[in-house]
Amino acid sequence: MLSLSDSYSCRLSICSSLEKLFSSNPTIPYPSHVYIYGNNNTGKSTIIKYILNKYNHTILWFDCREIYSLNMFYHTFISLLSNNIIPVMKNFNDFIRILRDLSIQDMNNNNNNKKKKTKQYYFVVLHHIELLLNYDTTGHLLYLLFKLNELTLGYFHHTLILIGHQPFYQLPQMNQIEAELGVLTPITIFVPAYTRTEIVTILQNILTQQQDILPSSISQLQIIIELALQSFYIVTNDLIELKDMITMCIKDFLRSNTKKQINDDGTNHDYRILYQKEFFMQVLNSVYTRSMSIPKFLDTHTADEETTDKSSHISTINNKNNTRDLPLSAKFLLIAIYLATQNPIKYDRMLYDKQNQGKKSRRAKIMHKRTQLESSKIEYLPLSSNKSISLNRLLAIYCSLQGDTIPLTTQIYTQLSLLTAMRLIELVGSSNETGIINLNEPKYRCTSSNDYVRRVAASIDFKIDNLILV
Amino acid sequence: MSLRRQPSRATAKPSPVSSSLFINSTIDLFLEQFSQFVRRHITENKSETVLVAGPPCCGKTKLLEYIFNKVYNEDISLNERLFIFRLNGLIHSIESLAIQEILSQYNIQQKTTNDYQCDNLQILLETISNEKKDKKAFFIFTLDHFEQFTYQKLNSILYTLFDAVYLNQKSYSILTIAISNRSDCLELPEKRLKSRFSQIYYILSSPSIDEYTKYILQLYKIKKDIQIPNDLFNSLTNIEQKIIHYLRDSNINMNENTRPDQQLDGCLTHLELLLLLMTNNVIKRIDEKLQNKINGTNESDDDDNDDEENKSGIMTDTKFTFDQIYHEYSKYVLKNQKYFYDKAVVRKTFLHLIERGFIRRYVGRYASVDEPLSSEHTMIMVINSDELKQYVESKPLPAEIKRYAKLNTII
Repeated sequence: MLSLSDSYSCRLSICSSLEKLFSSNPTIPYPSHVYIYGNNNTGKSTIIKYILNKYNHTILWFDCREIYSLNMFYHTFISLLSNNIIPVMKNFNDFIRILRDLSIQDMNNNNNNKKKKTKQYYFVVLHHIELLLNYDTTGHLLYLLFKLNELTLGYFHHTLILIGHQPFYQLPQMNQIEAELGVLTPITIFVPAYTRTEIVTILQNILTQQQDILPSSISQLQIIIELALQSFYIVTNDLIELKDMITMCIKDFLRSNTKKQINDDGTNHDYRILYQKEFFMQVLNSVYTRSMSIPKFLDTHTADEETTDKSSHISTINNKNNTRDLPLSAKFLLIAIYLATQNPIKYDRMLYDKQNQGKKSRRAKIMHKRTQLESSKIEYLPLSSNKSISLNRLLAIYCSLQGDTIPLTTQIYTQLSLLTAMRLIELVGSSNETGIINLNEPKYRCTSSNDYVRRVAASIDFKIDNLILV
Repeated sequence: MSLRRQPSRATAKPSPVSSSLFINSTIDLFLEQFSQFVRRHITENKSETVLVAGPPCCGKTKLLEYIFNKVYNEDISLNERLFIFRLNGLIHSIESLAIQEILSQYNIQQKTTNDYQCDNLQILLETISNEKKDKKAFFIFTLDHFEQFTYQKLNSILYTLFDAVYLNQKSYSILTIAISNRSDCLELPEKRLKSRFSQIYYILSSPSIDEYTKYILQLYKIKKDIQIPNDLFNSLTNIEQKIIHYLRDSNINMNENTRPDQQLDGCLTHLELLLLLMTNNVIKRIDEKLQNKINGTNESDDDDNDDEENKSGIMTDTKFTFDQIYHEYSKYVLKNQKYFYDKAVVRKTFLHLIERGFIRRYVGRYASVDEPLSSEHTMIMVINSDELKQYVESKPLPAEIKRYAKLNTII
């Protein structure tokens, strides 16, 4: 006997309800119409197939994603019942007549065959029913399917099982049917989406079986699954989508593991895991949206650092942060916050205003030098005093540095959180009495060293000294 | 059940009632009178038309089948002369299709494989009746969803069947039984057809839920007592299916709403929920703007649609575009620095909401259903905003989502 895999252990209650519906019973007939609905990839069709097969029922299964017209549906339906040449069917009327004739023929054959005395009973399953109803121009197809037994004069005994995504009364053309013909009320069963805990369990089961993973790597696998779900589960709870994306992340992880043979000393591990968040976002933005295939993504992206001779030298100086791995916009943000910390606010316009930059930056320098000569009083706070910069000012300076060609998008906040997670900048804000940070006025503080920021600027050929007044 | 223009009572005694049909006093009266009506058609050789109307799934077709079986059983010699053809207005309203169906049913009844090439219903009926030579043929036509036949002008099926009442056909007679959910369907045919229709009609109503429940339990030999709640959408079929469901799985909730609103629990991700809340927000703002225009607090708009709404004073279903929702999303992200994703990710999430029926797209008459979602496509929200509000308040959700819902207290 077939058995459901362990992945469906969270569907036991739904399984048992469906088993009770479709188990053989000498006195109580089968329900005539059942509608099962829920999100994509929640196990609806697998469970129903398992249960119908368990009781050896005769199933007529139609995946409406593979049906491109109603004629094709009629043809497929009849071909499942008969091996003979199928006559041409142009409309539903032809379909009903041929179905009825086949059912009568079947019944006569059963009567002649003394062994088989029971009537043939079919379970007609229409998966993705919304797609089939989209081909219905008259708006009556669903109603006619419900009346199939009556239209075939009682010769075709069946239970109609529909599988869809929406509540039954929201199916296409339901309003028209209810207004003109009457309310259809099948037995409805809702299959909820998997919870996060269930997805973790299922993915761990699937991935440990599929991947050739050493037992020592299983704990890392679980960490990656948990981390990835932190990013992915907010957007989608589709099991197959999550499985594909997480499998890809694990492939990347295993690939870099075998390549580098990392000694996990703790610091690098934290950094990789934090940086993988950026990788997860890239996965969402490309693979999830189908703008890039998985092989292409793996070729062009990696969550891991690229180790070269230069970066290894740099990493000895600051082994937490590798300037070459930061995205360009993150580098500009870091430079912007450094400049904002170095220069007083009143010189911002002179320094960053595009129209006057050529002249006034020099003028600002000259003015500052004059003031420096005139008074020894320093008007600005040095970097070491940890001056906090408001978000608006930071973004304004960033836009000025990036130029008009690159628009300001919400991606900038990704970079800000990346820099915060990497401890290159720090989020501060005025807190109220209870100590809760006021998120309406976020402020950031640069916690990177002077040398590091200069190294970042040098890596992108940015002349940072032109914009520093000291 | 009400009876208009009762046919004359025959003296035939009522036959014993079969247990496979639910019978109460009203139904018994209908069975008795209609059986006499059918017998009269046969004995008096008279073509007739009659309407049987009633709410959907109240047992019209089943009662008629019971009567036909009874008539067959009473006089076996009628098997060769009495032909019952069941047509459905949804699929047989065109004459050529109806002829194919009639031929098929004739072959089933007579266990033959005749293939008469007839273009005309009258010729077909004459051909069939001529086969019986000296014996007269009796045709009974049941036209289910009769109103669908009447939607066609100059429907030749109806003309052939109704004209038989006035044509003194010696070889056959036709009893036309129109079955409809609409009690006003006699007003639907053309004048010429209306005049040919005899004003005999029966209007059936469903029996009470308790009576029918007891009957079904008796039929399945169950000694339990089950209470089916009174539901607006209850029909006999629905009651029977509920009982079958309960008998098979006693854990089900009999009081469950037959038309539940959108399933929110176990369905939505955080981003989807946020987009729904934002959609509500956008709709509220559009409604407020429109309301202000109607009240005249804003400057007048040259838009014609607004002028129409001003005149009628009735708010239409508020339509919105994806761009409006994305604009709201961008504002949220800029302010809160949370849930920031690419536009493509937001669009795909939005498409999932459409796929699951929370939001419905307006698809033009000639537009493809599969057309990708664009910024200009208008949509309306289907979900019940009270349900959304209760769900957001009751479920453990991230603080930022609850904060957004509370701040924008529109739901």
